[in-house]
Amino acid sequence: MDIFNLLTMIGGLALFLYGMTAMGNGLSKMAGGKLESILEKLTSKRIFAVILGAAVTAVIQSSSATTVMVVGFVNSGIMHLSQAVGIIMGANVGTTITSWLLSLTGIEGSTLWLQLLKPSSFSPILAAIGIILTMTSKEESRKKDIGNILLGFAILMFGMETMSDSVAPLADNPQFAGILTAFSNPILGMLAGAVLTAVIQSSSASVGILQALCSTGAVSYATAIPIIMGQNIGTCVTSIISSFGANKNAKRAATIHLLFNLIGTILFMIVFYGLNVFIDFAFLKDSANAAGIAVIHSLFNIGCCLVLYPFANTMVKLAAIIIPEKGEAGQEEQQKEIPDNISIDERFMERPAFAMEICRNRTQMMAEETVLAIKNALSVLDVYDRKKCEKVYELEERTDRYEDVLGSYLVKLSSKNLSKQDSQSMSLMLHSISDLERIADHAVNIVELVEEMHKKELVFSKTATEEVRTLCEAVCDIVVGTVNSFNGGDVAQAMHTEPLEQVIDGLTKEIKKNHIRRLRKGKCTIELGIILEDILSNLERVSDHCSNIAVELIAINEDGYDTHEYFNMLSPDDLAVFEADYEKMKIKYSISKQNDKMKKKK
Amino acid sequence: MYKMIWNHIQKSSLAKDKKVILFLFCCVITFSLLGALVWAAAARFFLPGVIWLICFAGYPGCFAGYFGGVLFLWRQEV
Repeated sequence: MDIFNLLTMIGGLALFLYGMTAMGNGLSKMAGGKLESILEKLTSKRIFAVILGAAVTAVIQSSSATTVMVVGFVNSGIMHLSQAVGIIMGANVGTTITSWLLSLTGIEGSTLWLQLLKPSSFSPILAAIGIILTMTSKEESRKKDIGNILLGFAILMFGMETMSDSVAPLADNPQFAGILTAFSNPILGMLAGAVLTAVIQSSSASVGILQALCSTGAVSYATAIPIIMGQNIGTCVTSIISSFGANKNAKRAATIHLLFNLIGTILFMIVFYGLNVFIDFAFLKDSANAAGIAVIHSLFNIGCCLVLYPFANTMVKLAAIIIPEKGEAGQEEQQKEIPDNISIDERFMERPAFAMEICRNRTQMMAEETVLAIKNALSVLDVYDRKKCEKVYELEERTDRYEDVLGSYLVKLSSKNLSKQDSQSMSLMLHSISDLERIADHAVNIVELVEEMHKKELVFSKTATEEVRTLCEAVCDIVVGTVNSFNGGDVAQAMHTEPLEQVIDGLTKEIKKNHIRRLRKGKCTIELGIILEDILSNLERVSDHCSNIAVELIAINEDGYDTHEYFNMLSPDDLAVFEADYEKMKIKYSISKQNDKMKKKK
Repeated sequence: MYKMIWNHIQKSSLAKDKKVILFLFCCVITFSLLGALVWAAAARFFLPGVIWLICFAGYPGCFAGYFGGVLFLWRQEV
């Protein structure tokens, strides 16, 4: 093997690693964060956690990515350690799928079907299809994602073949054979596997390199087995690195990953080499091939999972012993570490699609808490309730926190590679979170005014009370309708917001006029008038913010829509619907009819 | 041992993440050297050869040095 072979091998390794990354990223992007959401929600039972962990890892092609996600989930408080154990076990099994894909390079045979199954036969076709899809697709479409996945797979296979071809001359090299013989010492082999995998931070990649070396025919099973064992330990480095800066439970999750692989490796080594002393496995001297490596890799990981599955709780306890709480100080720290279910772990940014799912979820939670704040505020306008007033203050603080967390997180996420749909969602969220936060601020303003009235024992007249009640119903409807349309992405529902906003504007003006009339007749005081003015102003602004959210939602769904030109952009049909809605809501929230009824009663 | 290395590194003006990297590097080197010294003493009587030197240096470096160093840092709330 000369310097040119070495350079070819390095080039092949680079293409191999790039192809693996590109394929994994493409699959992850196409899944759109749903895989990770499934992991987050459906892992209440350990067996489901194992199966889902394996499935997700098989799709995204990286156990390191899955375990980093698990560390993030545990750090955020989304997942308990007992659930995390199952996913970690499953991830170890799922990652073996890559070695099976790579074992296709070892196919030998002259029949047509075997020739077709060889990567050298089908990967150029996949590459051609991939490049055609990529170049002919619009930016950020599903076709383009599929094209990128096919290209990634083809590059991965090409890199693998290049590596295998470049190391082929080593078959006749006595020094190389000597080095490999040395690695048949299981203790050295395990160390080599662990160090190699720790450096490249991918067990799939290090197994792939081993499979490439197998093409020389100089790698025996006696050499390969301890290296594979060591690779499982080396892969823990990624989750350990990701746990720095995380809370204790997240560190325990990384510890469990290490313990699982370490205990599994030690047990296997003891059992296997112990049996070898008595049975003398003849296959150890045989040359390993790519398929054989895949079999050993899978059997080991599945075996570890089966053996250690019943001891999952024991591993959680062991992790708690290794990373203990520190007495009273530890309890205080544990209190501080309790996540507030608002913050979003920065580790999720490694998977932008999933990070966007989390942001959507947080924004929906923010919207729901805003609705609760405004409902409570409107309720105390009718009947004073101290507890509801305090609840509004609490909810307003939470919406401030939501805006702060989401705003900075989304800005950081905007630099990542997002799909078109996610970019649009991001734009909508960034616009809407400030409107939602302002709605909560107005809820607090209303509560403060109510408290002032309660303190001074001021009460609105019956007429004013009825008018304000009607307005509150309209505002409640607009807030609930807007939040429902926002959370559901329902553009049709959002179209009803603007007519209602116009009705609320009209109502506000009418109530102000009626108040001035009462003021002239001496039926109302100036002090009450000022408070009423402020309440009306806050309610009117709440509806304005709802209008902003709804128009932004409509704008996002209709590309190139200018939110300031809402009426100009309405089609004749839309205008007819708008006017019909407006008339219907004007009748529903009419205060002049109410005043007439009250006069008749008198 | 870990505390001694960490205390020395804490005196430097490096950023926190660089201190962590330096600490782990120092731990790996220290424990590898200690392992190599043990091998040097033991090699006269049993397990001679480069392979065993690599094992005697590599395992302490990897496990006691790297993983042990990480555990120490976790317990230090780093």
